[in-house]
This record gives sequence, structure tokens and C-alpha cells, in this order.
Amino acid sequence: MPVQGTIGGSGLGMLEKAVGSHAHGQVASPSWRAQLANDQRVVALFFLLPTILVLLFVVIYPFFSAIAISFQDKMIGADASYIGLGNYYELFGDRTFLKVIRNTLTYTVVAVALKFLLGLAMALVLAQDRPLNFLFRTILFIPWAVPTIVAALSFRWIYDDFSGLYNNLLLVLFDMGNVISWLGDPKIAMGSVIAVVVWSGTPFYTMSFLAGLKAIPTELYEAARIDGAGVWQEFWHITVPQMRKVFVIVVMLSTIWTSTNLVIVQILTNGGPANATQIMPNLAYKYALLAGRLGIGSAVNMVFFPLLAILIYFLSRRILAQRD
Amino acid sequence: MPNTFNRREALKTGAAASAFAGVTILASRKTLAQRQQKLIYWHLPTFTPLADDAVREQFEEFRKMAGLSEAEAAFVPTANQELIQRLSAALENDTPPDVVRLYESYVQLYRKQGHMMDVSDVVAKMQAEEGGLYESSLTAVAYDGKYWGVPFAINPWPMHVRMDVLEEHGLDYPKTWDEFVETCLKIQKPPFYGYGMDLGLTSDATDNIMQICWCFGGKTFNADGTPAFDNEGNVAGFTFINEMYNEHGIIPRGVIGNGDTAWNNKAYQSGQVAFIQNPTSVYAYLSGEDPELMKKTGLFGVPEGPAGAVNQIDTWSLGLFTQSPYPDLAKGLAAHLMQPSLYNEVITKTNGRFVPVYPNLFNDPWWTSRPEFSQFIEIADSGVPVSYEAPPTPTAGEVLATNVIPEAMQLVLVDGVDPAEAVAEVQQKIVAIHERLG
Amino acid sequence: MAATISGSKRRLKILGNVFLLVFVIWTLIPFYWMLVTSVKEHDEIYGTGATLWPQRPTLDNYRTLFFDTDYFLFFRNSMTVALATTFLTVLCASLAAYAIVRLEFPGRKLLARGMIYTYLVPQSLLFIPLFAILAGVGLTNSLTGLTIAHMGFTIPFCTWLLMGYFMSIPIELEESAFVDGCTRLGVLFRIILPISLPALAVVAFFSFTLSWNEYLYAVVFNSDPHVLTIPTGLSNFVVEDVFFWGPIMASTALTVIPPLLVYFFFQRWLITGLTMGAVKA
Repeated sequence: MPVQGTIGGSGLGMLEKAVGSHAHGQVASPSWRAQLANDQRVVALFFLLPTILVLLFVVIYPFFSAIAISFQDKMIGADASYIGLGNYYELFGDRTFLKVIRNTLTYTVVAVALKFLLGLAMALVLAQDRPLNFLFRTILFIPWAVPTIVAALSFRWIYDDFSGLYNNLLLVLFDMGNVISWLGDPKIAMGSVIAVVVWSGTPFYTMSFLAGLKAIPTELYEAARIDGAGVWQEFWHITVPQMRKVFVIVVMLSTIWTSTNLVIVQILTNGGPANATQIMPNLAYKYALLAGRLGIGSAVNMVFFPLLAILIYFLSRRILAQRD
Repeated sequence: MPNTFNRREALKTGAAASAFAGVTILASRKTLAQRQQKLIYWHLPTFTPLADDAVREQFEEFRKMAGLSEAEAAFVPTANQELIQRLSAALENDTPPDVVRLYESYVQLYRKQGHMMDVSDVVAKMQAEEGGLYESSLTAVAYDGKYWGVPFAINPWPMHVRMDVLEEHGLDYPKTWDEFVETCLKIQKPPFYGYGMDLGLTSDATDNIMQICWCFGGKTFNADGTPAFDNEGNVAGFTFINEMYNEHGIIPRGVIGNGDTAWNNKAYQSGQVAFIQNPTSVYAYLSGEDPELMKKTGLFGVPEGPAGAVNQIDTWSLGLFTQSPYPDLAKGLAAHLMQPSLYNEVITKTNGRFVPVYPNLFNDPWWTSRPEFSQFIEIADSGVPVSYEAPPTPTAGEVLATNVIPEAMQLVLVDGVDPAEAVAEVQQKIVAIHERLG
Repeated sequence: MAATISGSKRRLKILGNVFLLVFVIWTLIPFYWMLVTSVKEHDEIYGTGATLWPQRPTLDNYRTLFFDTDYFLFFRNSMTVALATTFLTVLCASLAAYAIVRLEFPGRKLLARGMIYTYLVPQSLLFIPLFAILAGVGLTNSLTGLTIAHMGFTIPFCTWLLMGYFMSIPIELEESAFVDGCTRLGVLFRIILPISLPALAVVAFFSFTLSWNEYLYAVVFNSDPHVLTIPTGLSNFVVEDVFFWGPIMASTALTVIPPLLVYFFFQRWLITGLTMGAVKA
């Protein structure tokens, strides 16, 4: 394992350099510039300034504003009035809200799990040597290049009962005259929606994992092979541990994005049939924009907030603490 | 170098920085947000490029008449589905456009929030024109003896019918809903279905459902706007629809998974269903893209139910926002666009998409030369809005926008909930909305 | 190096190829549908069945796209915003990721986590207060404003992803550079970044594609016809309750090309990996 460098070590190194440059018998004192360059905090500020400016400007205020609104009774274009947990009471008193929460959990967990498995499998496959790999990589990247809205619209049609691609394929290949109502059957609607989410989002996993796989030093594998390790052992004992950070980061971000993306459900089913596919971001949109009730719309979004915030906290702790 | 900050201090610093940034930004908001234009008009597409171009020309005409430079007057095309997001952001920021076409109850909603200009003077001039204005277009924008929007168009909801299919089977357009079911059973042959009713979580579904309930004596509101959904007519309507879907099977199963109002259009345009009830956006589309199918299409009022036949119309109006810095310019533009001669030019170019608010304009050869529109005039006259028996209200608007009624209908269709129970639940929800919005 | 490929290796290869075939088909079927629809005539699109191959292929939909809308202008605007977003994001995220991973400063963990918390409020709610901010400083109806809005979304993720990769770079590489008199900035640009090309590639692809395809902010913040981007063009083809499928699919087919091209040509950066051999302790 690489030896961790010490802070004092590099600082001292630069100090020595500054001192050394004055070495003509004069009294050596580090220039203020060198001292400044030493101070990690100053360097950090310099490095972080552009990012902090952008985030402050574009993210901080809107973010806190959205949170604050969830405690207000606020219609678009009207004045706000503070009502504390009023919105939350209204939400939890609604029977369908609990169904929506359950739907969201199912939707997120299944979609993320499928994306993870498929993405990893694809990355492993693409990491193998073969001719034309560059072509395959490009092909597998396509779903991500297609705007989500358009992907959703296309699948809406592909799933269509009569003029949709799938039912017509079934008719042609298997002579299945009975129409499968992909989006209209409450039992399979959620599955159909998740399939689109997975189609659209897997390339993100694939590419991130592929880059991670490529970053694993080949020496590790060679050493393992010399020790007589099999393919499976190589995978479990080298690949997975090396990829752990990338796994965690990708899953963390994807969980958040998947659970807050309303486009696919909105275009495919708008939450139907009978709220079988209604998930929280869509409910939030319905309240916030369709009914114009920003307060309760924001509250819907905030319901998962503590859960996700805790997830982020603990996942990121593992990453931020270690500095190997 | 030891860390001299601890977590608490870091948080405090962070909070202070955010507060500072927030205050600066908020303070600068009003001062820096200067409008350069004196007149901003958001134009929603009127369905055909020809009509859109006509409106643009008329806008330019007005601009020149008012002595405004090109930079001072903005004609901003806005797609329908962009409108709600753009307008929401703009309203929240206190910078709505001066004039924009609004759907039905939005005029009343914004009026209630104090955003709509009193345009009684503009409307009075329109009423003074020969033939006056349709009553329904006026009630939609009236409140407290004044008018808060400029009537722009009426939107009837006729039944679009495949006349060729009826002819093939030697049938006439059904007079009653029972006959309708019989007709469908005779003409349909899956995958060709009888009635392309929308039963998804969409506004079309609310409209289609109520169109049947009304014929059974149902309604959503009393004339004074109070919720009145819990009545036998609605229960009968829900029951009838359930039978159509589950028993007779004259509606394609997949409709309940539908997520937008375009589905039934597409179903009809693709020749998958014989009947749909929809505004004439379908007809207008066909006249441009599929004239053959258009020729086979008949437009009729709804079949009768036990309580008679009640047709639907909805209304579009021009909304003028009070935040407008030059109200006279806004009113001037609205008045200009609504002059019968100019207005007629646009309406006739929309291929039947909109019915003019001036009854007199129905004498235009465009309408008289098309016999399929003969029923239209009747529907325009006697049709009721989806908020029947009340005029469009903010409550009605939210009920429509949040799909309260289709949601309940789906419970009946899918989960087998008793129609009476479902109807009672809808009433509860509408009452809750009414309490909030009045 | 081994002279023969072991049996399990070969099996793995075959398995890999089988999976690849399945993945490719699964990925391409919907895309094929989009492409094929874009060259179908209206009648065929609205025909009762679904045809797998266009009966009378036509370029009409593309013609509508090019001549009835301002497609070239939209394209140029989208490209400007996407490239600017990508470049600035890579820059900011690299600096930030390095600082968080290698430097000590107060609030380090708070900042890192804070960036991710911002994703908890989705765009669909964030856009209203964000619009207020941009309007307040006069950056609505501008490509600059849109770029900054996009950066707000791309920077946190890209920073985190780069953090993940930077952390696996052994610190000895930097230390030897320090001894040679390199500054922090120098180390970042001369040593870390070149090694992290695969990660930078992912970050660049992500930023570009996200910005290129972004719909909500593009539509709400910009309404002046001069600064519209491609997604706005899509709205032209949905009029109330009618979808003009032909042009929508044509627009898709074209819109997909730049991200694919960017990916196609720069994916070799994804191939470079870390080598540890150069560092002597």
C-alpha cells in the first residue's frame, strides 16, 4: 500500500527550497509568497474558488429556498405564509401518499440494482480485448446520448398496445395475437417503466466502471496470476476492492438522480394506472406546478430528504475519511 | 499545521457566507431586473403555421401603429407544454408577460391572486360588434360585474366519427348511449375498437368521463361554484363507463395507462378506433396531414343519456397581467388582435381548431362550405364547461389539472371499487380543494 | 507473457462476446425504431400496424426540421453551451477534487458532502428560485446564464468522480515532484491530470451530454429566439395534444450525433490506465 505523505513533509520541502534559493550567506527567511504557498488552506481556497462561486450562486440559495418553502403555504404567484409541518400532515394523511412512497422505494432500488449489475457486466465485457471494441463502446453509449424526454417518448410508442414495436414483434415472432398492455396493465406497468429507466441510465454506470477498471494497475493481476489465482478470485479480491470507491460514488449519485427524475414516468404513464407507477418526483410536480402549490410540492420532495441525506453522510464518510 | 477551525465554526462560517450571498442576491434582484421591452406577448401555437404567421403579422402591424421599435416589442413563441413552467417562474419573479393566451380557469385563478387586469373596456368594444359575443365565452371571464380576460376562442368537444365504418355496417350515428354501445359492438373487431375513450391520468379523461356523467344527470359543481359531485347522476355515469370498459369491452384495455392527451388523437389518426370525443385538434391535424381520413370523419354532438344530451365546450381567453408596465399597450394589442376582420383571418386559418367568439363570424364561407361543422354551431351555443354547472373557477381548474376524477375512475375500473364509494371520495377531495381556493 | 490462453480465459471471452451481443441488441432496438420512424412517411407512421422497415423512405421529416425551424441556430447554441459547460466543469472539478483529496482545510468534509446534498432538490423544483437568481443578475435569455446553471449541476458530480480516481493515485508520484520543486498547481496539471485521463474523459462526456440534452432550464430561462437550444426545438413538434412524430424522431437522430461523435473520437482516453512502475520510493 502506498505510504501516506505527511503534511509537514511537503511543507518543509518547499520551505527548504525557499531557504535554499537565498543561500548566499544571507540570513535565510522564507519569502511571504513561499509561506503563503505553503499554507494548505490558502492553496485550497485558490483551488476551490471557482467551484465555490458557481455553487454559491447557482445552488445554495435555490436549495435552501426549496427547503424553506416546504414549511410554507405557498401558491405560485401568491404570498407565502409559514405553516410549519402543515404540508407534511396533509401528505401523510393521504392514503395514496404511502403508496407513492412504496412505489418510489421499489422503483429506485430495483432500477439502481439493475443498472449496477448491467453496467458492471458491460464494463467488464468492454474491458476485454477485442477488435472493434471502440465501436461497441460507442453503441452502448447511445442510450445516454439520447435525451431522456425523447427516450421516454419513443418507448411510449414502442409500448403502444397496437402500433407499438414490442407487440408487433410478438405477433410476428411468436404469433401472439393477444395484446400485452405494457403500460396499461397495473401489474406490469412499473416493470415497463423501470425497463426504460435502466435502458436510459446504464451507460453512465458502464462508463464510470470502465474508467475505474482501466485504472486498476495490471501489475496486481499479474501478481495474482503468478500466485495461481483464478478468474473469480481475481474479481473478488482485486477488482471489487479497487473499484469500491467508484462503486460507492456512482451508486450514491445514481440513487439520488433516479429517485428524483420525473420525466420517464410522466411521459409513459403520468403515474397511472391507478397510481401504480406514481412516484414522488411526479407527485411533487403535480402539486407544485399543476396545482400551483409550491409549498406542499416541495414537502413531497423533502420527505425522502432525511433518508437520502443519511445515505450520503455515511457513504461519503467512508470515502472522505480514508486518504490512502 | 493544526486545524484552527472546528466543525461548529465551519458551520457558522458557512451559514454566514450563505446568508451574505443570499441577501446580496435578493437585494440585487429587483434593482437589476429591468425589462427592456414595453410589450411582451407570449404566443401559443394556433395549430397551423399559417395561422401563427398571421398572428405575427398582426402583432407587427400593431407594433408599428403604436410606434414601438422591434426591440421594444417582443413576440415570444411558447409551446404549450413550456407555458406552465415558464409562466410559473415568471410569476414567481413578478415578471409575467403582458399578454398571453390562457386556458379556461387560469384566468379566474390569476384574477383571484390579483394578477389579471380588468379588461371590461376591451370586452365592451367587442360586444358592440355585430352579433356580439357568445355568452359562454363571457361567463368564463366574468366576475363581480367585470371582465378579467379577453375571450379568444371557444373549443367544442364533438364526437369524431368514422363515417365510412358506420356506412359499411349500414348504421347511423347512435342517438343514445345505449345505442352507442350496441353500435360499437357491431362495428368493432379488435384490434379495431369502438370508443377510444381516454381513461388515463389526463385532462382528456376528466372531460370524457364528465361528458357521459352529464348525460346521466351528473355534475361537478352547483351553479354557485360549490362542490356537488356526490350525486346519482355521477354514480350512474361511473357505472356505465365501468360497464363499457369491463363488460362490453368496447374501449381498448390499455387506455388506463395513458399518460398524455395525445393518445386518443393518435388512436383515431391511426385508424384504431371508430369514435373519440375530443376538441377539433384532430380534425385540424387531419386537414393538414391526412385529408382522406378527414373526409371520412363526421363531427357530432354526444349521444343522449337518460338526462338528455349535454355537450362540452371549453374556452380560451387572452390574459393581461397587472404587472404590465404599459397596460394601455397590452390592451391595445388585445383589442387589435380581436378586431373581427383580423381575428377571422386567424380563426379560418386554424382549420376548425377554434370556434370564433363572435357568433356572426360563423357566416364566413369557411364554415358554411363545410357541412360537417353544421352541428358545431349548436354545440358552441349550448355547450357547457367541464366545471358544469358552475362557470370555470380556480377549484375546477385544480380538479382538472390534478386528475382527481380519473384517479377515482381508475379505482373502479382496476380495483373494483364501488362507483358510489368512488364518487363520494371525489366529492371529499373537491371539497378540500374548494376550502383552500374558494 | 503467457504463450497460451488458458481454458477459463477462452470461456470468459466467449461469455463476454455473448453478453456483448445481447447488450448491443437490447440497446439498439429502441434506437433503431427512432431512426426508422424518422424516415417514414406520415401515413406509415400512423398506420395500423408497426412496420419494421420503412416502405417509402423519405427525408421529409429532416427537411421540415432544417427548413421550417431554426435548427442550425439551435445547434450552434447548444454546442456553445455544451462545450463551455464541459470545459469549465472539467477545470473547476479538477481543482476542487484535488483540493479535497490532497489538502487540509477547515470545512473540507462539509464542502464535499454539501455538494452532493444539493442534488436532493430536483431540477423540477429548483428551477423557480434559480430563475429568480438569474433574472436578478440579468442572465436570463443568455447562453452564459444557461452555462452557469448547467455547471451547478455538473460540478458536484464531476468533483466527486474525480475525487474517487485521484484517491487511487499513489501520493509518491506527487512527492517526488515536490522534491523537484514543483508547485501544487504544477503537480495537478503535469502529473495527476495526465494520469487521470480516463476519469477526465468520463467527466467530459457527462458534462457535454448533460448540457447538450438539458431541457428544463433551457426552456424556462431562455425565450428569446436567438438563444434557444435544440431541446426547445422539440417543443415545436408537440402542439397541444398532437405529437408530430416524424420530425420528433428526426430531431432525435440528429441530436444524438454530437455526443456520439465526441465519445467515438475521444474514447481512447478511456483506455489509458495507471502505471505504477515509474515511482521509486
